[in-house]
Amino acid sequence: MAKKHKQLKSRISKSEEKRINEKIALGIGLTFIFVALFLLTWLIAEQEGDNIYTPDKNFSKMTPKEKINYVQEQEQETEDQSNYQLAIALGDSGYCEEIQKLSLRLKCEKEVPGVISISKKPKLELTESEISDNSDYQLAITMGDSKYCEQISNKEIKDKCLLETKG
Amino acid sequence: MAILRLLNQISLVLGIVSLIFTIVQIFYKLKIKKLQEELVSKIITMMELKKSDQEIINILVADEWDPEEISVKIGEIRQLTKFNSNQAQKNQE
Repeated sequence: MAKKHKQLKSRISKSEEKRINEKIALGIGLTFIFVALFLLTWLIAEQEGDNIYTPDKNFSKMTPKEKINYVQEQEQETEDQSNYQLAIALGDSGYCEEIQKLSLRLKCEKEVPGVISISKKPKLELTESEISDNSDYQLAITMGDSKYCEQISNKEIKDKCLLETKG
Repeated sequence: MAILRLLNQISLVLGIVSLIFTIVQIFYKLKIKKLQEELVSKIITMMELKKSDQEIINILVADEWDPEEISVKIGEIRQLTKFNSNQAQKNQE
Protein backbone atom coordinates (compact mmCIF):
# COMPACT_ATOMS: atom_id res chain seq x y z
CA MET A 1 0.00 0.00 0.00
CA ALA A 2 2.80 2.39 1.00
CA LYS A 3 4.69 1.41 -2.16
CA LYS A 4 1.63 2.15 -4.30
CA HIS A 5 1.22 5.50 -2.56
CA LYS A 6 4.85 6.35 -3.36
CA GLN A 7 4.36 5.27 -6.98
CA LEU A 8 1.35 7.55 -7.22
CA LYS A 9 3.28 10.47 -5.74
CA SER A 10 5.76 10.30 -8.59
CA ARG A 11 2.95 10.24 -11.13
CA ILE A 12 0.85 13.28 -10.26
CA SER A 13 2.00 15.43 -13.17
CA LYS A 14 -0.39 17.44 -15.37
CA SER A 15 0.10 15.02 -18.27
CA GLU A 16 -0.97 12.13 -16.03
CA GLU A 17 -4.08 14.06 -15.01
CA LYS A 18 -4.85 14.73 -18.66
CA ARG A 19 -4.41 11.04 -19.44
CA ILE A 20 -6.86 10.09 -16.66
CA ASN A 21 -9.38 12.65 -17.92
CA GLU A 22 -9.14 11.06 -21.38
CA LYS A 23 -9.65 7.59 -19.90
CA ILE A 24 -12.71 8.80 -17.94
CA ALA A 25 -14.18 10.36 -21.09
CA LEU A 26 -13.52 7.13 -23.00
CA GLY A 27 -15.09 5.06 -20.21
CA ILE A 28 -18.20 7.23 -20.06
CA GLY A 29 -18.54 7.13 -23.86
CA LEU A 30 -18.19 3.36 -24.00
CA THR A 31 -20.64 2.92 -21.12
CA PHE A 32 -23.23 5.03 -22.93
CA ILE A 33 -22.74 3.12 -26.19
CA PHE A 34 -23.05 -0.31 -24.54
CA VAL A 35 -26.02 0.72 -22.39
CA ALA A 36 -27.76 2.09 -25.50
CA LEU A 37 -26.98 -1.13 -27.39
CA PHE A 38 -28.21 -3.21 -24.46
CA LEU A 39 -31.50 -1.30 -24.22
CA LEU A 40 -31.98 -1.35 -27.99
CA THR A 41 -31.45 -5.11 -28.32
CA TRP A 42 -33.68 -5.71 -25.29
CA LEU A 43 -36.44 -3.57 -26.80
CA ILE A 44 -36.18 -5.28 -30.19
CA ALA A 45 -36.21 -8.73 -28.55
CA GLU A 46 -39.33 -7.79 -26.56
CA GLN A 47 -41.04 -6.59 -29.74
CA GLU A 48 -40.11 -9.83 -31.46
CA GLY A 49 -41.83 -11.65 -28.62
CA ASP A 50 -38.65 -12.88 -26.90
CA ASN A 51 -38.93 -12.05 -23.20
CA ILE A 52 -35.26 -12.14 -22.17
CA TYR A 53 -35.55 -10.72 -18.66
CA THR A 54 -39.14 -11.51 -17.70
CA PRO A 55 -38.97 -13.51 -14.47
CA ASP A 56 -40.21 -17.04 -15.16
CA LYS A 57 -41.91 -18.23 -11.99
CA ASN A 58 -41.35 -21.88 -11.18
CA PHE A 59 -44.43 -23.84 -12.32
CA SER A 60 -44.49 -26.04 -9.21
CA LYS A 61 -44.65 -22.96 -6.95
CA MET A 62 -47.69 -21.51 -8.74
CA THR A 63 -51.20 -21.55 -7.28
CA PRO A 64 -53.81 -23.62 -9.23
CA LYS A 65 -55.28 -20.44 -10.70
CA GLU A 66 -51.86 -19.25 -11.80
CA LYS A 67 -51.16 -22.66 -13.31
CA ILE A 68 -54.35 -22.50 -15.40
CA ASN A 69 -53.54 -18.98 -16.55
CA TYR A 70 -49.97 -19.99 -17.35
CA VAL A 71 -51.08 -22.99 -19.44
CA GLN A 72 -53.68 -20.86 -21.24
CA GLU A 73 -51.08 -18.21 -21.97
CA GLN A 74 -48.66 -20.82 -23.30
CA GLU A 75 -51.36 -22.33 -25.50
CA GLN A 76 -52.33 -18.92 -26.81
CA GLU A 77 -48.71 -18.12 -27.50
CA THR A 78 -48.27 -21.39 -29.41
CA GLU A 79 -51.41 -20.70 -31.41
CA ASP A 80 -50.24 -17.17 -32.16
CA GLN A 81 -46.88 -18.47 -33.33
CA SER A 82 -48.60 -21.10 -35.48
CA ASN A 83 -50.86 -18.46 -37.07
CA TYR A 84 -47.87 -16.23 -37.64
CA GLN A 85 -45.92 -19.02 -39.35
CA LEU A 86 -48.94 -19.88 -41.51
CA ALA A 87 -49.44 -16.24 -42.49
CA ILE A 88 -45.80 -15.97 -43.54
CA ALA A 89 -45.71 -19.34 -45.32
CA LEU A 90 -48.99 -18.91 -47.22
CA GLY A 91 -48.69 -15.15 -47.64
CA ASP A 92 -52.21 -14.77 -46.29
CA SER A 93 -52.79 -11.88 -43.90
CA GLY A 94 -56.07 -13.53 -42.81
CA TYR A 95 -54.05 -15.56 -40.32
CA CYS A 96 -52.56 -12.38 -38.85
CA GLU A 97 -56.04 -11.36 -37.70
CA GLU A 98 -56.26 -14.54 -35.61
CA ILE A 99 -53.19 -13.56 -33.59
CA GLN A 100 -54.07 -12.32 -30.08
CA LYS A 101 -50.74 -10.79 -29.07
CA LEU A 102 -50.79 -7.26 -30.45
CA SER A 103 -47.06 -6.88 -31.09
CA LEU A 104 -46.92 -10.17 -33.02
CA ARG A 105 -50.09 -9.32 -34.96
CA LEU A 106 -48.66 -5.95 -36.02
CA LYS A 107 -45.38 -7.60 -36.98
CA CYS A 108 -47.29 -10.21 -38.98
CA GLU A 109 -49.37 -7.60 -40.80
CA LYS A 110 -46.19 -5.71 -41.61
CA GLU A 111 -44.34 -8.75 -42.87
CA VAL A 112 -46.99 -10.23 -45.15
CA PRO A 113 -46.33 -7.98 -48.14
CA GLY A 114 -48.96 -6.65 -50.49
CA VAL A 115 -51.49 -9.37 -49.79
CA ILE A 116 -55.01 -8.46 -48.91
CA SER A 117 -57.13 -11.37 -47.77
CA ILE A 118 -60.71 -11.42 -48.98
CA SER A 119 -61.85 -13.79 -46.29
CA LYS A 120 -61.48 -13.65 -42.55
CA LYS A 121 -61.65 -17.43 -42.44
CA PRO A 122 -58.34 -19.31 -42.13
CA LYS A 123 -57.19 -20.64 -45.47
CA LEU A 124 -57.77 -24.25 -44.48
CA GLU A 125 -61.50 -23.59 -43.95
CA LEU A 126 -62.07 -22.02 -47.39
CA THR A 127 -63.96 -23.83 -50.16
CA GLU A 128 -62.24 -24.53 -53.49
CA SER A 129 -64.09 -21.72 -55.19
CA GLU A 130 -63.14 -19.31 -52.40
CA ILE A 131 -59.50 -20.38 -52.65
CA SER A 132 -59.55 -19.79 -56.39
CA ASP A 133 -61.21 -16.38 -55.96
CA ASN A 134 -58.73 -15.49 -53.26
CA SER A 135 -55.81 -16.48 -55.45
CA ASP A 136 -57.13 -14.48 -58.44
CA TYR A 137 -57.82 -11.48 -56.24
CA GLN A 138 -54.35 -11.56 -54.73
CA LEU A 139 -52.78 -11.96 -58.18
CA ALA A 140 -54.76 -9.01 -59.54
CA ILE A 141 -53.75 -6.81 -56.60
CA THR A 142 -50.12 -7.90 -56.73
CA MET A 143 -49.79 -7.46 -60.49
CA GLY A 144 -52.10 -4.44 -60.62
CA ASP A 145 -53.86 -6.10 -63.57
CA SER A 146 -57.67 -6.18 -63.75
CA LYS A 147 -57.74 -9.14 -66.21
CA TYR A 148 -57.34 -11.51 -63.25
CA CYS A 149 -60.46 -9.98 -61.68
CA GLU A 150 -62.55 -11.34 -64.56
CA GLN A 151 -61.94 -14.89 -63.39
CA ILE A 152 -63.43 -14.24 -59.94
CA SER A 153 -66.80 -15.95 -59.55
CA ASN A 154 -68.01 -14.06 -56.45
CA LYS A 155 -69.58 -10.83 -57.74
CA GLU A 156 -68.89 -8.81 -54.62
CA ILE A 157 -65.21 -9.70 -54.66
CA LYS A 158 -65.00 -9.21 -58.40
CA ASP A 159 -66.36 -5.65 -58.09
CA LYS A 160 -63.99 -4.93 -55.24
CA CYS A 161 -61.11 -6.29 -57.28
CA LEU A 162 -62.01 -4.26 -60.37
CA LEU A 163 -62.37 -1.14 -58.28
CA GLU A 164 -58.99 -1.62 -56.66
CA THR A 165 -57.08 -2.43 -59.84
CA LYS A 166 -58.69 0.30 -61.91
CA GLY A 167 -56.04 2.93 -61.11
CA MET B 1 -33.49 -14.12 -32.13
CA ALA B 2 -30.39 -15.91 -30.84
CA ILE B 3 -28.12 -13.23 -32.28
CA LEU B 4 -30.20 -10.56 -30.60
CA ARG B 5 -29.93 -12.35 -27.23
CA LEU B 6 -26.17 -12.76 -27.69
CA LEU B 7 -25.74 -9.11 -28.65
CA ASN B 8 -27.86 -8.08 -25.67
CA GLN B 9 -25.75 -10.12 -23.25
CA ILE B 10 -22.45 -9.01 -24.76
CA SER B 11 -23.46 -5.33 -24.54
CA LEU B 12 -24.57 -5.87 -20.92
CA VAL B 13 -21.21 -7.37 -19.95
CA LEU B 14 -19.19 -4.75 -21.85
CA GLY B 15 -21.37 -1.99 -20.38
CA ILE B 16 -20.68 -3.20 -16.84
CA VAL B 17 -16.94 -3.54 -17.60
CA SER B 18 -16.70 -0.02 -19.01
CA LEU B 19 -18.70 1.35 -16.07
CA ILE B 20 -16.30 -0.29 -13.59
CA PHE B 21 -13.35 1.05 -15.62
CA THR B 22 -14.81 4.58 -15.46
CA ILE B 23 -15.41 4.35 -11.69
CA VAL B 24 -11.84 3.13 -11.10
CA GLN B 25 -10.45 6.01 -13.16
CA ILE B 26 -12.58 8.53 -11.24
CA PHE B 27 -11.25 7.17 -7.94
CA TYR B 28 -7.72 7.34 -9.35
CA LYS B 29 -8.26 10.97 -10.34
CA LEU B 30 -9.60 11.82 -6.87
CA LYS B 31 -6.54 10.21 -5.31
CA ILE B 32 -4.23 12.23 -7.53
CA LYS B 33 -6.11 15.43 -6.61
CA LYS B 34 -5.63 14.58 -2.94
CA LEU B 35 -1.92 13.99 -3.48
CA GLN B 36 -1.60 17.30 -5.31
CA GLU B 37 -3.20 19.03 -2.32
CA GLU B 38 -0.79 17.21 -0.03
CA LEU B 39 2.16 18.36 -2.17
CA VAL B 40 0.97 21.98 -2.12
CA SER B 41 0.53 21.92 1.66
CA LYS B 42 4.07 20.49 2.06
CA ILE B 43 5.54 23.16 -0.21
CA ILE B 44 3.71 25.93 1.68
CA THR B 45 4.95 24.59 5.02
CA MET B 46 8.53 24.54 3.72
CA MET B 47 8.17 28.04 2.30
CA GLU B 48 7.00 29.22 5.71
CA LEU B 49 10.17 27.65 7.12
CA LYS B 50 12.09 29.94 4.71
CA LYS B 51 13.55 27.11 2.65
CA SER B 52 14.86 27.97 -0.82
CA ASP B 53 13.22 26.51 -3.94
CA GLN B 54 16.15 24.18 -4.55
CA GLU B 55 16.00 22.91 -0.96
CA ILE B 56 12.28 22.27 -1.25
CA ILE B 57 12.81 20.39 -4.52
CA ASN B 58 15.64 18.30 -3.05
CA ILE B 59 13.62 17.34 0.05
CA LEU B 60 10.50 16.43 -1.91
CA VAL B 61 12.38 14.53 -4.63
CA ALA B 62 14.01 12.50 -1.86
CA ASP B 63 10.46 11.74 -0.68
CA GLU B 64 9.76 10.42 -4.23
CA TRP B 65 7.54 13.25 -5.47
CA ASP B 66 7.59 14.14 -9.16
CA PRO B 67 10.30 16.85 -9.67
CA GLU B 68 8.48 18.47 -12.58
CA GLU B 69 5.24 18.77 -10.62
CA ILE B 70 7.15 20.20 -7.61
CA SER B 71 8.65 22.95 -9.79
CA VAL B 72 5.28 23.75 -11.32
CA LYS B 73 3.58 23.95 -7.92
CA ILE B 74 6.37 26.10 -6.44
CA GLY B 75 6.05 28.47 -9.41
CA GLU B 76 2.27 28.64 -9.01
CA ILE B 77 2.48 29.29 -5.24
CA ARG B 78 5.20 31.93 -5.64
CA GLN B 79 3.15 33.71 -8.31
CA LEU B 80 0.03 33.58 -6.15
CA THR B 81 1.77 34.89 -3.02
CA LYS B 82 3.45 37.61 -5.10
CA PHE B 83 0.08 38.60 -6.55
CA ASN B 84 -1.47 38.62 -3.08
CA SER B 85 1.31 40.79 -1.59
CA ASN B 86 1.05 43.20 -4.55
CA GLN B 87 -2.70 43.36 -4.05
CA ALA B 88 -2.25 44.02 -0.31
CA GLN B 89 0.31 46.74 -1.06
CA LYS B 90 -2.09 48.39 -3.51
CA ASN B 91 -4.86 48.26 -0.96
CA GLN B 92 -2.61 49.88 1.68
CA GLU B 93 -1.70 52.68 -0.73
